[in-house]
Amino acid sequence: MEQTKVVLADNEIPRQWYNILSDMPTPMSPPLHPGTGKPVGPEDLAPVFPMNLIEQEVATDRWINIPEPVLEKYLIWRPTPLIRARNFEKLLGAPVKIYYKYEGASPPGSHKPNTAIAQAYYNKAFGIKRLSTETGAGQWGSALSMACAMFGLECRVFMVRISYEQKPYRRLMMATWGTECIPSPSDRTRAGRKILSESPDSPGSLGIAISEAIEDAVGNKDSRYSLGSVLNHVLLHQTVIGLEAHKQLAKIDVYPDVVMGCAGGGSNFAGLSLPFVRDKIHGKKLSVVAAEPASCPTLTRGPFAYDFGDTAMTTPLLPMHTLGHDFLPESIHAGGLRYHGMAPIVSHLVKEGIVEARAYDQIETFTAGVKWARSEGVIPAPETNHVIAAVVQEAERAKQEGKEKVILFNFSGHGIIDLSAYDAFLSGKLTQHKLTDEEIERALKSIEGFPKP
Amino acid sequence: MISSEQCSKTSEGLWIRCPRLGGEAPFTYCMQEAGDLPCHRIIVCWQAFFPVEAYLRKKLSPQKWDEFADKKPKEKITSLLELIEEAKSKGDEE
Repeated sequence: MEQTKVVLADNEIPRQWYNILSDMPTPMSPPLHPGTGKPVGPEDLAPVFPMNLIEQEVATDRWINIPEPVLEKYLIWRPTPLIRARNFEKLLGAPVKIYYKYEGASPPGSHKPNTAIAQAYYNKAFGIKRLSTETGAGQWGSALSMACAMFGLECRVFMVRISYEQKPYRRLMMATWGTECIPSPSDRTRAGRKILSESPDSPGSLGIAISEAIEDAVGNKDSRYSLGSVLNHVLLHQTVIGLEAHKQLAKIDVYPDVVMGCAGGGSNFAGLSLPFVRDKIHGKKLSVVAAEPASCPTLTRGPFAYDFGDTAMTTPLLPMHTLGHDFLPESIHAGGLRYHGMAPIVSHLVKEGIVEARAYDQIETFTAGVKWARSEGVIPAPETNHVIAAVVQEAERAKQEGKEKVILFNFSGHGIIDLSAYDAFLSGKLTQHKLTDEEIERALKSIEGFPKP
Repeated sequence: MISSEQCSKTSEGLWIRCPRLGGEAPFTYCMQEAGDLPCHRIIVCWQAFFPVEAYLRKKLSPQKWDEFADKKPKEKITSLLELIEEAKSKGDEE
């Protein structure tokens, strides 16, 4: 019988996180304070983060010990299995071996608790009693809720109202874990009240929700704020994924040619890839690919188009040109990793040419996700579908090039709580093609009466 | 600003999966995502489906269009620091 899963025993779980900052080939520019123009110091962040996490944010040590109480909680679902996707390989019919880290094994169903647990622990150790955060559709909010429950912290989550109304299950998960989940804008904060006074039925936005969460934390000595992505310490905590994968692959004497992850804020991508990026920096040959969202229909593009044209990502995504686009400032036009809250570490690695960014549209990602579900069984989270689309593309490349490849990717979460997204896809609710003039006219007419922004 | 109810009334042809929200969102949501301005990703997300840039140029006042076009999304840490300062100053006022 062929081996499908590679597992680690509890006592083989990594005892340290890996800090890529110690191995960066070129230094990263320090973030500057918008008020003073000087590099951000620990005291600037102290109103929202405990000092033990701020220290991790700026740490340059290569290895950072994982505290025992964090390991104890990790062991509830970690080490996660490394699984070979034999059925998907057969479906693709390409000369590839596909391995994935199954992060859907955590109680909330994603990789997010890897940092939520650590952040809850460090806040508790610092004497904090309540954490606040914002959440869109609830993936991060639910992970932090579980972590706070495990460490006896209060948790307050400001959830963008449009998601709060559309997506009841994650807020019910949060409530089950004892969190107070509040639709944002709310009357709990000055920021929320201001919006509500102008527009009582506002659907909210991430910007409003984050304002509320920060305001909730600032000025209360017992409260702090928690962020589930982007920041250095978040990526640090996620490296437990890649460190486990490293050990698991070594057990079967396999090393990947390509390492892939989906990249929204960058934490799950970085979690798997950074230990392998370290190998690459030290001379190992492999490709590291970040799959991110685009919206352009596959039909309008060539087989390997839509990668960024240069490592500095100054080249606009192609669809703009295919649509006869004339001029837009680059800040809007490029729209890639730099521009939607990507982790600075990941952006820096892309800029250095160590990581490659590729974009996939919503239809091809869901198409890939459905294929995955029908062959491997697990229904992927919609975000995970991006990397599955990248795997499909990489397998197609291997077939065209006649090269055997080992692909490793991060299956960042299952989609059982996001089935409405599949409903939207399967029922054709998501925009699937370039709209005809008639469709555009009809669609825009339906919102013509709305107030101008 | 549009209402939550108006959002949900958007025509079926104008929904997209919002990569920032992690859920499905109508075009009307994207139009107000940044308060009095559209989301900075609106053109990246929608241009493939219809000429959203032309639509925005028509819909927004020239001043708002310039504001939208010139606005660069901030690094997360910069946004956090601004919000911290804002929250602190509001606290001081009370």
